[in-house]
Amino acid sequence: MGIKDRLKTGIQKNLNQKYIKRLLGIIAKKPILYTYGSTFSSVSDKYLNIFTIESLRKAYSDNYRPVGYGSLFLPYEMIHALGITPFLPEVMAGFTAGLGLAAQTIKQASLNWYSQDLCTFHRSASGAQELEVFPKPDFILTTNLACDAAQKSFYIYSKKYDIEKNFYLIDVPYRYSQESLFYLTAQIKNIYMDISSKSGRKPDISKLSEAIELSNEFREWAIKVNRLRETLTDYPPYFNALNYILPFHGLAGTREAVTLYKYMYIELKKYLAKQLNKNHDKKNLPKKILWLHLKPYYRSEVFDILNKENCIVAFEEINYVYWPRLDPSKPFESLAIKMLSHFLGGKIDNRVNMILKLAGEYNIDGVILFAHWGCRQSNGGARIIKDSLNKLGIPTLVLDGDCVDRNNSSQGQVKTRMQGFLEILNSKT
Amino acid sequence: MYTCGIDVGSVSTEAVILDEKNNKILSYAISLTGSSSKNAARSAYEDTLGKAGLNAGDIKAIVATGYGRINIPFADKNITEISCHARGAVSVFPELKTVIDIGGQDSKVIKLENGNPIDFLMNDKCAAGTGRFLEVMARAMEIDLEQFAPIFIKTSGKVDITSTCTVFAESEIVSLIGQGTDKNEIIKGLIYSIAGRITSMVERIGLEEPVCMTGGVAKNLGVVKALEEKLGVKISIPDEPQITGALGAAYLAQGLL
Amino acid sequence: MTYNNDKNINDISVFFKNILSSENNRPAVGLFCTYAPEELIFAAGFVPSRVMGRKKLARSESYFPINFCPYIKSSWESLLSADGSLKAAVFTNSCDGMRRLYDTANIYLKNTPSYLLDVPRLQGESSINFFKGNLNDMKIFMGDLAGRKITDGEIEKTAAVINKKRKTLKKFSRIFKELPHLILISTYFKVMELSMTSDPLIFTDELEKYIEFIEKTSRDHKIIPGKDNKKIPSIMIIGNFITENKLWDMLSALNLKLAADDLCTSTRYFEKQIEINSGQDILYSMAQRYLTKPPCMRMADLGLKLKEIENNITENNIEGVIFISLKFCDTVLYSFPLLKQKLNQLKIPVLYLEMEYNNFSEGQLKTRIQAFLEML
Repeated sequence: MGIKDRLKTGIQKNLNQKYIKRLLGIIAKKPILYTYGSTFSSVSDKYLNIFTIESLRKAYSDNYRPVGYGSLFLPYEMIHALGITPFLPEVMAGFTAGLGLAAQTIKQASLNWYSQDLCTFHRSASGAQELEVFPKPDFILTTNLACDAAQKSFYIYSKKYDIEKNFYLIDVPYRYSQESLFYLTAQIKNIYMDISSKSGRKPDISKLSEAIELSNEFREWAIKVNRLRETLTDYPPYFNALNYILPFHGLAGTREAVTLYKYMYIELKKYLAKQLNKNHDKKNLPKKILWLHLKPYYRSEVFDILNKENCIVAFEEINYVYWPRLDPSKPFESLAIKMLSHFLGGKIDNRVNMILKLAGEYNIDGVILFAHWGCRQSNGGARIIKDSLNKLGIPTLVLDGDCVDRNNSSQGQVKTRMQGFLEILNSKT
Repeated sequence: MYTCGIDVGSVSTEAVILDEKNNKILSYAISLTGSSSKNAARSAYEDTLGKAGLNAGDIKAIVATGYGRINIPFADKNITEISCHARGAVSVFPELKTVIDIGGQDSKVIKLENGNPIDFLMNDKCAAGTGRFLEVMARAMEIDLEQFAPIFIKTSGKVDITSTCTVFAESEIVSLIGQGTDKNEIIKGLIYSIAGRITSMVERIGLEEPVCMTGGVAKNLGVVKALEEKLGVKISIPDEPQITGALGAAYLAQGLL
Repeated sequence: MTYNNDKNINDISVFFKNILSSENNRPAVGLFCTYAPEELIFAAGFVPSRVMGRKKLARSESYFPINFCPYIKSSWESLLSADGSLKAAVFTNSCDGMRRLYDTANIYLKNTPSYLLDVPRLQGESSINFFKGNLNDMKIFMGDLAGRKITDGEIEKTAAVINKKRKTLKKFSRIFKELPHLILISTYFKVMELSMTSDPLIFTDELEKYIEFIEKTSRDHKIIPGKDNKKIPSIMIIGNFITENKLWDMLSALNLKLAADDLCTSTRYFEKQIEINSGQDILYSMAQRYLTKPPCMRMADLGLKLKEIENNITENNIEGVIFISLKFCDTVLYSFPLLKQKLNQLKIPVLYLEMEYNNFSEGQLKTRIQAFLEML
């Protein structure tokens, strides 16, 4: 059994905070971490892993307080500027899937009366929290962007840890207007001031401006990567952009995000140059897929099938840079603008227009909407998305599945649907 | 030149040998899959070879489809039942726009344009829209499944079956029988039930004529009639609806030559 | 139970003749949520009518996934089958499902203008002010629909009308609780449904008369309100948009007293008035009322809701809670773990039920509820 497998089995058998803390203490020690890092052929992939382990170590250690739980679509520039060590339960749910822990956490959630119709990103995290696997938080931050489940699950965390007074929900208005901007900016500012004083610090707005500048830098690199991907017809084997949700959201405002995306760009550029040098069989160019929502975070053959059928995921909506360059001299308003710009807020037209735009930019042949069980905000719009793409002659596969709970979907069924859809794409001239 | 298509379903396995010269079906075989899809495929293959008077060397290409398609080592390629059912149905009805396939354990609707599939919907999570539903009910009512169609046609009244789940529907009809409800009306209700599930799928994908039905349940004229009623269209049925998948696979095997 | 020779006190058709016969008199605007102000709709001259979604699912299935709020799917079935019968449909961003219903209606309904009212999830002063701005926006939409500008004076008038309706409903609710052997649970909810779907003026008038009749009947027959001859358990029902008549019939036949509720078809609908003539801008008062009335679980501060439920339990001597949620309601289902924890602390037993819409599993629910009552 390889080291990774041994680690997995270890955590599965010892699913508790103490063990995880000890494990992180060992893995995250500089020499071991760097040795682990050197096993990666890709620099960006190496940084992805190192930054993830580092941030987890800090969250579990008691030396980096305050620790804050955050939902995915928060402006993390603010959290880093406040000196809060972030911990993202939804991303952790993805990890429970990858580490084979989801069966335990989901079972625990059922025992604690979390209904089985709820999304497993939140349910697995809730179960993990009930099992006391998560570090103790000092603050809880969430938002109504993009779904209902996060708002309740994060409130429950605050109650379970007796810190309801440190629970913050950023209420993003439905429409993007002057009034909305004013209302949202005030909320963000108040939270920033409140957390600062509760942390015993003087509110340091210059730190927020710095974080926004770093965020802008990361944004530039991310845009460059996305541009480059328009012309890529295949990817290095390590590259699955659906693995980058943690840095793309959770590391916004840090130097780490800049480093990661800079190296991602450099490496993909090299890869593209190699690609252009090869004699390309114009007839055998792969079909390009646009991927909507997320993917199974446990081992799944979904992407192997894409390879077999000569199709690639050309782009994913989750990696779309949806916000404009932010003004560091107006930090609170900037973050409000970032949140109001998200395509999952407001009318579905925001999401649909983005999808149609991407379909054009990346020359998409087909779209796959991964219909994660219980994700009402996304799956409720599947028909509209499918019909809109149909008007452009682009077929859509609404692929039923579960990102976290492998027992909630039959792998055979998922494979058949994928393969059937890709056969359709390949048979089109 | 000959090609062979093998459809390994969870309940039954079919094999078809096709003559490339005139696109005539040389032979076909239908049998129960049993516990090993590999063995089922092998014996179906040998069965059709025997019936056609050929040996393995005469077959230039083999395509496997269906639930068990992945484990067939002697197949040249595996293609999903979506592409195969579509191809098979179109070989019988060239202008076809919609295929409804109800098998033993799954059901699907395939939308076609110019003879090619462009969209599909599958139900393989739930027994309620499949042949299994009718089997379970036939057993519970102690009536031969073959009797369902004639009963449907001759009975005028029907009972609404409200349970959406096969297991609960079974309990429901047992208690209806206990209350003295007319068995024929129950059967009619059951057939409308399965037709309702299929109709939802068709509406989800958008109905376009002409429509054809394939799969074992297409032999149940009661279900066909109920679907025609609910969808408001005429439904065509190939002579041997159960082999459509294997037939399509045999055609697609020609593309490998 | 018939007390007078000619009137069955639980026969709604007798007491609400005008409402039941005036079905299609005034054009109606459909709504789905207790946060959409009826006052603004009525000020534009339309009857605010909560969409009940009584149609069985057929076409709706091809628009939404299977695991989706059954009320939303049934409502969509109603909207699709009668596109154009409503003057407009007003939605709120109460939940993810509703946002998608609005999107779908906006795109696929050819003859029904759709509007979405942005309701904040925070309940403080700045949110009230923000909501006031959104209400003004809705006022303009209703005005466009009516072909004229709606004035503050008109809104004050309709606020008074709806206030009176709410006040009367609250009185009816109190009487219903005090006279459990007289007014059936099914009757109570039939009245609630009428209140949400009919002309406010006519309804309030008929309800007042009905209340008079009830009070007279109890006086004549010397029924003392609030005094139970038999000891039956006091139950509280907590849930979302529960309107299943078969459920209410079932509960009416069981041995229980519905002593309190937290449903958007009852308390969350009629509790709390709009303050008029207090020197405050009427839209501000409206925003204030809606954001501070008994909240839906979708509001950010779930702690407030739990405290309110605790108060309800204490004030009404609740012995058991029945939690009923429509399936796939993320907000309410995700509120249950903390509710369960709180009820455990208070040592109050709770029955957890999930329901579909227009698809009632009578046997299964009856068994559970009966067993629960037997336990108490």
